[in-house]
Amino acid sequence: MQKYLHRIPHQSRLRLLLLPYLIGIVVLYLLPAMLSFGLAFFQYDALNPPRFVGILNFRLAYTDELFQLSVQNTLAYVILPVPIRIFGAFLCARLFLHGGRFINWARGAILLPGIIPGTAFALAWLWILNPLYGPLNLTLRAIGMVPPNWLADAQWAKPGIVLATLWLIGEGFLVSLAALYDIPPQLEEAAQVDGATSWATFWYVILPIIAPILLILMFRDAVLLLQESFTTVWLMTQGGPYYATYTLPQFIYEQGFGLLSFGTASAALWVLYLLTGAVVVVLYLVARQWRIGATDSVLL
Amino acid sequence: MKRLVVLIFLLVGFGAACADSQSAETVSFMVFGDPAEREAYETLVAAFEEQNPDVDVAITHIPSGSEYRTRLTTEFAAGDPPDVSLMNYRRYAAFAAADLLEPLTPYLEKSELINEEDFYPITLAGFRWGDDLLCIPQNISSLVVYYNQDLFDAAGVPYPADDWTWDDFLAAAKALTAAPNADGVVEQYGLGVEPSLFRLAPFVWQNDGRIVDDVDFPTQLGLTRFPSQEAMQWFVDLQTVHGVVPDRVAEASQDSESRFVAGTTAMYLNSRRSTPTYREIDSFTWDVAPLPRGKQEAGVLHSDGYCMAATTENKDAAWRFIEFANSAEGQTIIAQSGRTVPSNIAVAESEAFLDPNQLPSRARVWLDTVDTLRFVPVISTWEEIESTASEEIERAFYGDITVAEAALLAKNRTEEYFLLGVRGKQ
Repeated sequence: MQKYLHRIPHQSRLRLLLLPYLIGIVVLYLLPAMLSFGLAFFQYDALNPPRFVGILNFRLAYTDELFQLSVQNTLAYVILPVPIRIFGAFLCARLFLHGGRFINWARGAILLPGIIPGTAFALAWLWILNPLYGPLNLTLRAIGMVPPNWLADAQWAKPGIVLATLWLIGEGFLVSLAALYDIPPQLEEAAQVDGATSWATFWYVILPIIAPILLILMFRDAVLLLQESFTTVWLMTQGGPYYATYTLPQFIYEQGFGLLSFGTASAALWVLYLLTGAVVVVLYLVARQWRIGATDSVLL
Repeated sequence: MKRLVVLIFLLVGFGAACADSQSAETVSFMVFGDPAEREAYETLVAAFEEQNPDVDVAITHIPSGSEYRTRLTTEFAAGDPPDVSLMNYRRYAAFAAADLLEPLTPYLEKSELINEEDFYPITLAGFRWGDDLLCIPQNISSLVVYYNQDLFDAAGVPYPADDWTWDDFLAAAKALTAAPNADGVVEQYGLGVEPSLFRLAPFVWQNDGRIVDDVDFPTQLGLTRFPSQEAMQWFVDLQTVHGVVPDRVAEASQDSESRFVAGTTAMYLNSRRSTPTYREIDSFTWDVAPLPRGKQEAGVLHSDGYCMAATTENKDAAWRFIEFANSAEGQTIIAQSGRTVPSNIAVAESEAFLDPNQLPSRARVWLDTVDTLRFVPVISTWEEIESTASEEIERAFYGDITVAEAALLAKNRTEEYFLLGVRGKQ
């Protein structure tokens, strides 16, 4: 065995280490995704044999009001929160790049929400946003404001959930922090010698260098929010009140495991995939327009 | 060397043969419920295995009801369902419609341990699919009013009488609801009730209304009819007009059942299933009363049954377990957990259920109202019908839409499910 391994060049051997992940991705993600694409053209309830129905499932999904609503809601969870989350993470990283004694505590506090399990996080926010007894509304009322009823109010339920997800920035924070450390300090010093204000240094020197990384983080965040908003929403509102927070993953789940329409669920799942692709493409086009990361050959 | 190998083979073969002849037939059994219930089922299985050493019952216990249904559906879909499972009469039709359940009529006819006459007829009716009995009912629960005696005493309100009316009920609820405090928060409510079709049903029946047009051949919801809407209006007014039930914000802040358990809600509508939980309350004394009556008495049947999957290999062993679970001995074991109102008449009338040392002291309420019970239709899409209609009822209950709008929306949105639904052939 050793003999054979030695014949393989070092670089290839390193790639071999990725093999388990590759197998995992193919078997657990790609293959099921392909199968579900096939299933999208069948009527299938798992109890009776599947029946070919052409594009009926796509049409059923498209004409379902709940489906359209779920697509709108899903997009709403991405369009506003993604930029806020990424720039928030970046700003925090910049803020806590250097600092005094409590810097590690502060960094830990930013990381922490992303480390605790999603269910615990959702339940904690359910308590924070409790309209009558939650700490947030108690505080707002104490300073004389009339606080919203958050998740119990169709208008405020979505902002409530977005507010909760804004705190999950630990990953972006870490990556930004690492990227900021990578910037040679001479650059900043040079800018300051040239008389740039700290704002100008930030805007014209730091941000352009770090932009490609922020862009990748945004791609990832958009994909994450599109598909993984399910846990938070399911635990906090179950899509309510009256579908105000109903998302596409929930539509897929309910079609599949509630109504046993695996065909319609698969069709909707592929809409979600396409939507994810579309969001990433839009982000990419916007980035190119702004020439973000145009110097980075890896990216473009 | 060769001889040794032969010897080993012989020994192994012999050992395997021995193990085979001793190994019990396995029956898989899936239930849901809280830890106390789980214990009761383990006792039941232990008692059964002691009398039937040749059968090994393997319990799968799922804590939550909604997960239970998903799990059951998935396992039936995968072709590997539990041999025996506990199902509500509002849920089994989805499986019956796909021929996934074993008809139990022939087994019951041959049984020496249990007879049809042992059970309350209405529970059997709930599990009859066409001419076949598909599950053997474990319990005959119904909706009752749980009430906090301490709050009634403090407010000087008399305890609910056995023949109390809608007006008595509303008057008590009003007297037991506190005025809002300085922050505008109501700290004590008179009543808690889930705004759902299943909870609304008995009140509609009490007003001569209908939940569906025809309970045997349902084709649409009956909420748009006048007597039904009148009852629905009365039900909704409890919240929107009288404010004796938490509004949406208060409910979201702390749900009615938690409020009842915490001692800040005087009455809570529920079936027998919460009794084990409420028995753990030590801050106040509680009891149960029958539902108040409208133009007539009516209650709503809550019942679960033991069902056998059609694919079961050891049907005889599975039946013996179902038979035992529903015999006087088996139902006594489960009744002692407090969870069930036994469907076996002898057990229901025994101390296993009417235990004078345990709350609620008015447990007879469940037995005295058996004759007034009705069931919701048995149709394969009932779950979807119920949840869709309940969404609209909830909106009316919290004042987002009128009762007429809710009734019409509920009717229109469920039309498709009535079309797709399958009933037992008669």
